[in-house]
Amino acid sequence: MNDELSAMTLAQVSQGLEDGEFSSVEITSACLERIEAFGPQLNCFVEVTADAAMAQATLADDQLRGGHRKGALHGIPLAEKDMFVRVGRRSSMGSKLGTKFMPTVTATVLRSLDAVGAISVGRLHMTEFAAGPTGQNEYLGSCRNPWNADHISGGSSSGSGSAVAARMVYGSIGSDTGGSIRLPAGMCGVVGLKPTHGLVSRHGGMPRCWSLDVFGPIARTALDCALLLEAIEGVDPDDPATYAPHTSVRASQLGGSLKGIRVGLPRNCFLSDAAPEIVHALEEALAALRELGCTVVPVDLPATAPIYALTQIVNKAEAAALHAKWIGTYYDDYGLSARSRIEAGFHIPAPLYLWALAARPKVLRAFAEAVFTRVDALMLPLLTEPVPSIAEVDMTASADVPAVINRITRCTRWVSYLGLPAIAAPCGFSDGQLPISFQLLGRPYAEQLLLDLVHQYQSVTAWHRRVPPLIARQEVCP
Amino acid sequence: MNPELIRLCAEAFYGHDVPMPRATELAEEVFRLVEGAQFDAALPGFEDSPDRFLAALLEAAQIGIASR
Repeated sequence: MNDELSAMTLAQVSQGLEDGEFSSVEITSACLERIEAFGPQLNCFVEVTADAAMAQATLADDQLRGGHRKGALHGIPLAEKDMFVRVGRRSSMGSKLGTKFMPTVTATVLRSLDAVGAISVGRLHMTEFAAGPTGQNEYLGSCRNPWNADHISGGSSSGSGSAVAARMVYGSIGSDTGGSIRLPAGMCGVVGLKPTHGLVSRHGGMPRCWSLDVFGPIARTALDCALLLEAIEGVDPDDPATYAPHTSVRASQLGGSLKGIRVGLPRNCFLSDAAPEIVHALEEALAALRELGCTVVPVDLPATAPIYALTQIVNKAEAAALHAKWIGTYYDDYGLSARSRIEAGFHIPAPLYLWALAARPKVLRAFAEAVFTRVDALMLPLLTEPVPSIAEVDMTASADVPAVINRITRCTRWVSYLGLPAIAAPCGFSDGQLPISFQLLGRPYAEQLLLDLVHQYQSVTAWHRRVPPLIARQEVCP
Repeated sequence: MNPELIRLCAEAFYGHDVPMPRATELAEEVFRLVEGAQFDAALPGFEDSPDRFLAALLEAAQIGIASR
């Protein structure tokens, strides 16, 4: 029974709870059992708060029985990347330095989830200070991919991708500065949505880069992501980036006609040098969208390499500014990977950084006019090659790691500079049985369309239903 | 760009003596970023101010809507 419960999606357990088919205590117990069985081998949790989660579940059951349902997330076990703070509770931020910082506020996303009765079963692994797309961490150890533990989970929301794919929780909240929601979601075979810049409050989250950071959901389906996004989006006086007026996401409105929706496929980049199995998977995904009524339109993308460079300038300069005091004081407490990324930002002159920021509105306008006058959404690969192994990104063993990192982020990083929404979703498996995912980009605030495209794609495909072949340790070593 | 100069600047910013053995390598990385970004030669106006990015997002949200 417990495996059946953990195999269900967030939307399914939400419905089951509402219908009284099972209790929050039962589904929370199922998640905790799975975390106990598989958590250590994937290294996806920093801390499991089992007692607190069970107390929350008991309370949720009382409220649900009393007819006080707070919404679709009431009584649902989730977990968050370990960079969202609560008053009086330390978060690691993926660093040994996390113990030095005692929060005096609670993150807005956590307050939003608390308000709708969601349950937190713990805090999840992340790359040190969210600086890196692999899920490696010298302090916490590497987070592992549930499809093959010798391969990276992706990062920096590494534990979120791994734990959701391994059916330990029904959803998670991560952060994305250059791919940190999309990459772990896509590499682990689940759905990750990077919202438009400013859609979700960043207050109380660890900043990686003020101008590029966004927070968003990771879950098994687009519908689940929509339910999570509904709960966390909105205006927050503590994050003025949320002040732009926009239409809110409505999970209940997914499923409308896609007839006439134009999906672009870039003909001048990315696919030309992608691995054949990835090209094939994307072609199959586009065929499915065609069947659903979409029109597939070839488009020529503006050059993305310069946008990638601009992203790097902003990212590195802001990270250096954020960490200037700490890295000067605690230099030896930073891991090699995080330190070398942050260090580079000290060498970027202020005028160069300001040029990169000043160019942003103009570059966004040019990109939107080149793409969104022709299509409503743009499909790209998430990666142009299969998910790398942990050995391939080990900085202590290989000098090629920066090149591998650049290849991992070449389809995601520049999207953050543009501030556009993007969703990653599984669309196949490589010869090595690791997930292949596509990425869909939309106009600013087009989350509803992106979620609907993936929701309806998932209604006619089954990639998201595949479960990683995890084997509990006692079964391997009796 | 003189690696020794930017090493000294970095030290001044840290306010701490931080070893910078990679100064030359990092200077080259900055050169690559400048070259890669292909900066526009035009002088930016106030319409390009970084604090206009939210407004630019709202404008971009409407681009192409009419052609649907």
